[in-house]
Amino acid sequence: MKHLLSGLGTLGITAAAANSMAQSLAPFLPAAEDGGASASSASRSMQGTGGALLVAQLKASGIEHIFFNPSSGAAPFFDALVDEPKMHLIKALQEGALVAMADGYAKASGKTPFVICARPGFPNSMTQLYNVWKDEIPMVVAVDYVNRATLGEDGFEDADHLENIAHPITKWNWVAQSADKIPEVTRRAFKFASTMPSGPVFLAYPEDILDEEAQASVIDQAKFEVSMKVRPDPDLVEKAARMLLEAQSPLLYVGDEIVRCGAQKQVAELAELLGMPVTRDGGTIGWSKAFPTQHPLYLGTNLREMRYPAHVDVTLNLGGRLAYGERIQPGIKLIQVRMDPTNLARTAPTDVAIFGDLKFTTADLIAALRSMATADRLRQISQERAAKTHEYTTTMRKFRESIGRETWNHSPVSFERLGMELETALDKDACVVAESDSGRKMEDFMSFGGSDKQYFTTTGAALGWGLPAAFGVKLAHPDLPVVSVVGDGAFLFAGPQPLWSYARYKAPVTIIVCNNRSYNNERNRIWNIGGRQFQTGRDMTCYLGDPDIDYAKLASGFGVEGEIVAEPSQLQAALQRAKRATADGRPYLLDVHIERNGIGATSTWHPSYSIAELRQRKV
Amino acid sequence: MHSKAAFHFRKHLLGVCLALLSISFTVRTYAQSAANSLPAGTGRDLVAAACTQCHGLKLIVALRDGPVGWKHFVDDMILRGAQLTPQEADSVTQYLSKNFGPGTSPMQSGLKSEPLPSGDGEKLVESHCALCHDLGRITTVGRSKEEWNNTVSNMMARAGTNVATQDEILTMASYLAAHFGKKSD
Ligand SMILES: Cc1ncc(C[n+]2csc(CCOP(=O)(O)OP(=O)(O)O)c2C)c(N)n1
Ligand SMILES: [Mg+2]
Repeated sequence: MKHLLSGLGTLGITAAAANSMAQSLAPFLPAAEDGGASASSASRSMQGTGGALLVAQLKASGIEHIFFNPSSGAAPFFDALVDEPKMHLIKALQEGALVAMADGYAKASGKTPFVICARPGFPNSMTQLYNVWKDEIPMVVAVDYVNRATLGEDGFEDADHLENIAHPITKWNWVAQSADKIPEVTRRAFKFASTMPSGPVFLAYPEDILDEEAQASVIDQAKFEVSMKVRPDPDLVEKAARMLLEAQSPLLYVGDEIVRCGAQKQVAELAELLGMPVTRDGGTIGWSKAFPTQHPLYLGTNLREMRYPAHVDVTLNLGGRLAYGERIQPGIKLIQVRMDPTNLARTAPTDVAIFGDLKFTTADLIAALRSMATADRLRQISQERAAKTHEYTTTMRKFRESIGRETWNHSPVSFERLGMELETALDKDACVVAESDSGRKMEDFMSFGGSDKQYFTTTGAALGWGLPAAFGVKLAHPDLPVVSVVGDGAFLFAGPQPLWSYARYKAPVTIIVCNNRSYNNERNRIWNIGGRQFQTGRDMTCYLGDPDIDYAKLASGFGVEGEIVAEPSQLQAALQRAKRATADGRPYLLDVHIERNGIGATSTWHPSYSIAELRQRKV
Repeated sequence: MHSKAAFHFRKHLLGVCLALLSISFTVRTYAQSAANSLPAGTGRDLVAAACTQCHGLKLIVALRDGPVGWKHFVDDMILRGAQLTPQEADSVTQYLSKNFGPGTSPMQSGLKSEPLPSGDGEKLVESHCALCHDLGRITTVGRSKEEWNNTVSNMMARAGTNVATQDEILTMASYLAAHFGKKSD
């Protein structure tokens, strides 16, 4: 280093300038030369076990929380955390829940979480990792891997190429090869995971290298970040703007990338500028509400042949998945904007496919429209269209409300009333984390998006997400009220054990179990096929009663307070008790008995079978 | 087929396909073909247009329900995104209750049933339940008294007001529980 500095001096470079140059070059100079001391703020050389190097790199990658379930192979990593009071361990008792917690955290914070579990626990995480993959959420999931000395011998917890099982649902997977490479592969994992289109990656650290001493550079993640705030091709923007301007009946279709890019404001402005009605994917597809659901231009679910607005001639997809190409009828011109070039124009034939950041692209579309048409003309175009849509959405909102009110006195309580009661009880800045299949209709009675409540769910529909994900959302937003709304079926897929994490880490979340003692919507879909179960009126598969589960008791077993809400009239008071408990810093569970609805809903018949009765001996 | 003939045939086929395609551009084909599979009447085209956005008509055609029951289904679908205004929804409910209501070719379970045993309530069950479905659905299953009561009450409520009195419902439930009860009861 000294030689280099004096050499620069002879080139006529001042000492100060030479020093700063040397600092920026430092990461690329041999570490030993500066004795392992910090050479620049972004990069420092470090000596330690692989586990300690991993901790140091995670810190440099901005990690504050480690979502974990322990394993002996990763002991050196956990050992190194003893002296890192600013890094917090968040434990889940099952790996699926662990990954779902991290998913909720990522969706709410926009950060890339780090998850580590034992290698035999990794298969447990797969249901939720699949959800993460479907929503393109950045995440690094790691395991301790078999010691290199015995790898491939089919020994303890050794399955050939465990990393390959992650392959179809991760962007990248890697087995670290040596201790000194741990920081580097970890940085790479974070970079791959977080660069849009983002997604989960899988890392394996062999036990022996976590334990081995090595010297390596730990470098700030910022040095590997790639801005994906890409401006779109102006020619395509112009073409799209012209199509929109000339359209007689354009339709806006919105998706999650709007939320990822923080483009909600621009998207609402564009919709208003042209008076475009707005739709989104139906069912479980889409994890967010990208457009204010109370907005007078918001129609709700996109349908194959919209009756309103009729005769759509141009559809503009902003950041949506646009699954099911058949929904774009022949003759409709399709413009799509996405941050994911692979899935952009994946299915439906697309007239203008624009790759770009949703915020920039929407802003550019607005600017292009404004440059092509006078304010008067734009007003002319939007006014009539918007007025018609307002009329339609007002009629439909009132209609839905009247349908809801008709169910007000149903007992057990209807989803409609639960939605209305939640709307009354929840603050405007609440985060609702939903995983309730037939309960989706309660959303008709609630307001999300814009300045209203935030909404989180999962597209993948691998149940067991909601309860742990709400914990992750609360971790990301300790100062916002968080409510977890889960079906009884969904709750049980998560297992009750996420409640332990709620209690251990004092996560003040209101947990609402929509207890209809059924996989209710699943039965509806099954009977809808019109097969033998429908014909004979026998629900062979979906009834969850007998035994009837007491979720409040279950919560109490895990140290979480709760109560059963058997009567609709008790609901509002119970919600207020939950609010007080969470204000006091405690989670609170409501086991809300909910009406089953749909076809065959009232029947509690189920095939009976008893192993006890099979016995010849009383053993 | 010789290659020349095959060429002409293909050309002809192409022409037919193009003609069909051009129709499909102008006419809402899904709704159209769906409507053809339904009995004629006011509301048919609405059912065909609105309901087929998300699902087929097989179940609708197979199901029997009373006006209140059909209204529940229609209401539920509105909440799930069906685009029907209040007047249209009314028309759909009326169409469904008229064409797929009690008394219109009851649903067949394919389950063999013995004739109903005689007793207080037998005639009521026959005259009420069998309007929508065959007896196999009843006589081959065991339910507790509470379950029968829930089932009968639900069905009578769906059929509309004044279809059965509270006493009649109780009589039917007791009869069914006595003859088709659960072992443990
Ligand atoms: C992990 C997983 N297993 C199975 C399924 C299939 N499945 C879809 S919905 C459902 C039942 C959901 O029940 P619940 O959460 O109680 O919702 P409800 O319809 O009763 O509101 C099941 C089992 C799934 N989606 N994910
Ligand atoms: Mg349920």
